[in-house]
Amino acid sequence: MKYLAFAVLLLAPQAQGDVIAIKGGKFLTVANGDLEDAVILIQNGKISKIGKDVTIPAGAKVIELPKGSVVTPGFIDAHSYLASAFEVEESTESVTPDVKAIEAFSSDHPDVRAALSSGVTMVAIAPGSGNLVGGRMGVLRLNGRRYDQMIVKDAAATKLSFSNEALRSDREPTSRQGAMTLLRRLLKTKPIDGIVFLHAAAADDIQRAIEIATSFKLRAVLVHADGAGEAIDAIKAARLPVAFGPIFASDKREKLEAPGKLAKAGISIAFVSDAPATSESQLRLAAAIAMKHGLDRDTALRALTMAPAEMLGLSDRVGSLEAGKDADLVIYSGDPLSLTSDVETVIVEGRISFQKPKK
Amino acid sequence: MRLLVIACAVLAPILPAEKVSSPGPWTLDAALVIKAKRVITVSGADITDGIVLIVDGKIKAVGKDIAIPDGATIIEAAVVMPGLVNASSSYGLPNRANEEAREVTPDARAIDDCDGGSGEFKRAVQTGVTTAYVGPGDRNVIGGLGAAVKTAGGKLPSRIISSDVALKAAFGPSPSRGNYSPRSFAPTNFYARRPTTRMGVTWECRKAFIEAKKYRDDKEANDDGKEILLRVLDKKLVLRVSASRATDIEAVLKIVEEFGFDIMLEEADEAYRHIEALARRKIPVLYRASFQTRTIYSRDGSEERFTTFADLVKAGVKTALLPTGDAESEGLLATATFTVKYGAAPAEALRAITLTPAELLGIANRVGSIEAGKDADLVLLNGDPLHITTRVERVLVDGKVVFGKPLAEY
Amino acid sequence: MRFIILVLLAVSSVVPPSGAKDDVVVIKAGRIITVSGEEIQNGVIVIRDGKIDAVGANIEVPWDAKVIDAGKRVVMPGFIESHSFRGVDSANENVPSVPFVSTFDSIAPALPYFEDSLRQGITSIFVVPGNWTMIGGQGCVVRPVGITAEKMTIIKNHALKLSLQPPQGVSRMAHIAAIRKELDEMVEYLRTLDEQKQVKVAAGGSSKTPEIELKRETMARLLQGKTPAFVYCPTASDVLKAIELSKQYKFRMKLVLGRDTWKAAADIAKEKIEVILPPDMVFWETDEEKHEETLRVLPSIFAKAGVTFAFQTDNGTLGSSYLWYQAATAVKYGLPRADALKAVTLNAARALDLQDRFGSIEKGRDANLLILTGDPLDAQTWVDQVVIEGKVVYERDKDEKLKRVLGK
Repeated sequence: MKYLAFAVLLLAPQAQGDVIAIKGGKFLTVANGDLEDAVILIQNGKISKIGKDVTIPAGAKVIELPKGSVVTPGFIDAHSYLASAFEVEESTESVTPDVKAIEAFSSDHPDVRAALSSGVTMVAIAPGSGNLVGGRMGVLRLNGRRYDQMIVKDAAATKLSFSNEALRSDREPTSRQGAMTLLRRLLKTKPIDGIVFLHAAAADDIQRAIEIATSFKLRAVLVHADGAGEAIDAIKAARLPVAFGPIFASDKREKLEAPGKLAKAGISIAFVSDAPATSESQLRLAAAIAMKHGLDRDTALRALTMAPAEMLGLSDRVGSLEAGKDADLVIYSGDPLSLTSDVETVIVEGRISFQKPKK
Repeated sequence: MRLLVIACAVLAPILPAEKVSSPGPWTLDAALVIKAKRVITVSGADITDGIVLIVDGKIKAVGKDIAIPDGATIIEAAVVMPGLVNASSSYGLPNRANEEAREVTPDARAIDDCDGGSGEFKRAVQTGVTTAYVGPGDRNVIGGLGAAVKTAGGKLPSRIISSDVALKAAFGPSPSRGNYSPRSFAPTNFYARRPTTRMGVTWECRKAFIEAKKYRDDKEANDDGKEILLRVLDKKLVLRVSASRATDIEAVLKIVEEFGFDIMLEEADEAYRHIEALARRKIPVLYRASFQTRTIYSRDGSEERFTTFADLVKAGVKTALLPTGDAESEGLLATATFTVKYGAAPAEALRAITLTPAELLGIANRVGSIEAGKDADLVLLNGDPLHITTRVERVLVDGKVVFGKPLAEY
Repeated sequence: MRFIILVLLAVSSVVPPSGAKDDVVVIKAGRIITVSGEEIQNGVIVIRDGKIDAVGANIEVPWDAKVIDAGKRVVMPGFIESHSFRGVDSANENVPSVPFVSTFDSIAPALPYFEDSLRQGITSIFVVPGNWTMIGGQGCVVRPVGITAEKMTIIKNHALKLSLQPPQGVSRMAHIAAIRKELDEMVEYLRTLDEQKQVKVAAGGSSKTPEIELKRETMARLLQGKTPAFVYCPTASDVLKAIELSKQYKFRMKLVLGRDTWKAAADIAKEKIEVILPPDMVFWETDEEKHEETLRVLPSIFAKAGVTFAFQTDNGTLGSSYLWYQAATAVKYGLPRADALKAVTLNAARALDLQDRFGSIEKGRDANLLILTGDPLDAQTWVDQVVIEGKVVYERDKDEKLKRVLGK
């Protein structure tokens, strides 16, 4: 019977005003703690109500969750090359601020479906790190629809690279001092508006990124930050959030302990995949590994939801289960941060976009 | 009392970094006292059985009869001298420490290319070097700005003593290296450019300064690089020029005459051929000797004189000694030892690796000698620093032991 | 005619002339470092026909002796470079196995290296093939004076150089297999020759051993124990491999060590093999996990293990190009002075099996001596005179090139 209900929901066109009610299980709201024996009402693609004493209106389609189910906001990947890899390095010159990474995205790539089925509902597609100023990051919602209907923001942030990937022997800059000089000249004459993502992995690259962020008062996010463990004080003083990762099982202990240390210092962290370097499905693995190395659970969950939403300037729309926010949520068979749980259902903009097939 | 001293020494590394303002010997900033059979101050005469009192990372007092405060930790050594100053290092820098896309990059800063955690800094500390100049290499005619940094004591940004010590320029064959003239084939990269000859090098340097002068009259323009060249022309920033051969040194002297700025000569292997000119114009020299007798047989006609350092000093030229080897090798003390063999007075040799380079880097108010008020950057040795058999036992930077037996164990 | 005279005069100032019989030379010095025994204050060394005849404090000076009065200065045995690949035009062959070549054929007497060596007080050099050839060829013990390799040579083809450093792109496995192949082939060859001999003898013929092919002579001597091998071992496991090979193929061996080999010090001590330490003898090792650094002082490690070692120089840094500096560095890090001096004199001779010939000031040894202005480990000391086999071959006050660099 349950299956039929889902099938009906899948096939039925989304009628305006149709209300979906999700009941039972545990809701990890991220914004207001965990809720049990509560109800979420979804209407017009948004969460209209959430709480224990929510009346389910007549005519609503009710999804009664099996015992043990957990609902979280859809995961957000703040830095990815999903379905765009190899097409995001415009390497003829080093400064290409107007290039938009989402224009490299192929919506029919199988990785997109795979990402959605692992609970990731929103990804930021970034230009590569081979350019000093790589271009604009864009945000896409994995709603299973046509490309233009996936675009949330086509220019959410500008990406700058502080790693040695941006250094080449045949093109300016050839050295870090050249990169810094070029950046300073650029930012002096053409300041960057909006959010800036600073690609920096090693500790001294992070220092340089922080220096530029503070000198030019950028609204910045550090991305990767493998060596953050050695630069905690500097990051904290500059009040920069960190989009951390990708995390590999073979990473050194110093790197795996960094998220925990950053969180303890009060620095906001998110986990990123750099897909396809790691797959989107490994985001929650990253969180689990970080927890094993000292990260607290609440921050780990926030790092997959609210924190990346804030870093992309979308915290008013996604990242938590709250009334008024977009209805992007995932139903798990158990604790999402435990690898024994599965993604059962993914709802994006109030429509079921993925349903785990029953054997 | 002793228990308290041990306790605070043990606790020191784990107490929070913020200053604790309460008085008493249990604060982090308890006094440290070095008792040495010989205190080499460099700025004055050696002190036999002397005492150096350190408080808050600074030298509070130095002399024979200094009162030792209660609770002070006392370290004994045979010899204590100021931390060594390497006036031209490549610590933490990549092999090519230049932005090679252009030949003239006055606003590039070598410190941006410096890896503060590099093992080369550690090696430097182990040989007694506590302050080093980190600057652009000599592949660019005008390479950019160099900085003076401490070799230990935290992350690199916090170790910078002075970020605009000098503007680096290079004469001689080095800047031409890698460049080619696109004669028989089309240029495939930006290395198809001037200079490819020594005269090209001089031209690029002169051109940069001539254009800077023109730029000064153009109120509209805003060019970081040219602003720095103007500072040099206005004698607000020193130009540090590397030139090895006598002909290159001559070329340098000519542009000094043309533009009138303040310079320092670096490397200067054949400086012995221009001692009179250098003395007359009061041009300081950052001298790098090699002391290899094989230069007597060199094919390009250049020749070293082992007595150059001693002769420069005798002629009144302010001369700092640069180390002969790389970061992994024997270091400044060995270099100084050899200059004594070849005619320098021991005191001159020691000054040339401490106070003179500190003066030439413009940081003598902080380092280079053991004087009250200066940073407690010290080297403790088990004997005369100018003996190869002497060992560096401990090195202190800002009053903290950065090499050698840690204080807690003492 | 004048030209020939001039050439002869020039030549005669550097070549030890074929000694007239009963050449007696006496050196008086304020301090004599014998190396093999106690230091002698205000002593006398008597040299006859190029050899040390007597040394002591109360020795009668023969009336017909030529006396060199060194005054208060210091006399010690000449320094010995027991492993050098300078002085030749190219130390490494392109082909991996060339046991039949010899540095004798590539020594360039006019190279500044030899003149410089004399200036530094080096009286014997073992010039060997490089570290990058599997079986590099034979090395020669030379004195740094003479206008031809022949005149310089003390012992031609003294030892065979082997290297356990695999060339670029070759695995250790393959490298050792290649060495074994050469050795096995040689063993087989010798066995065949022996068989042939037996056959001849059985047939009533001569029992003379059939002649060994010229190319194979060196390897034959190696396997017959007549020539030792100098084996370059970059790592500790190479040392163990070398020991294994030398036991299996029964050849005598000296080890030329790389940095990492200190881990095998005990094994080397057990086998009582003399070794030559790498030029970089003191270095820091970083523990990757803990980021902790430990200082490794090779002379101290090997001394503690009871290994006899000699020092080596290279052109890497200023200091490491001087034997006295290497000795001073060892002392700096704790080696007793006497042991440090031995490592550049007597023990260097031991590494060449020539400790009965030179390396100390004792009766019967070659009169290879230095007159120094001060202690050998003091950087301020100058080599005033060098005596090789009883003849003064270097005098600092006649060293024009040195005067030039000193601006005189």
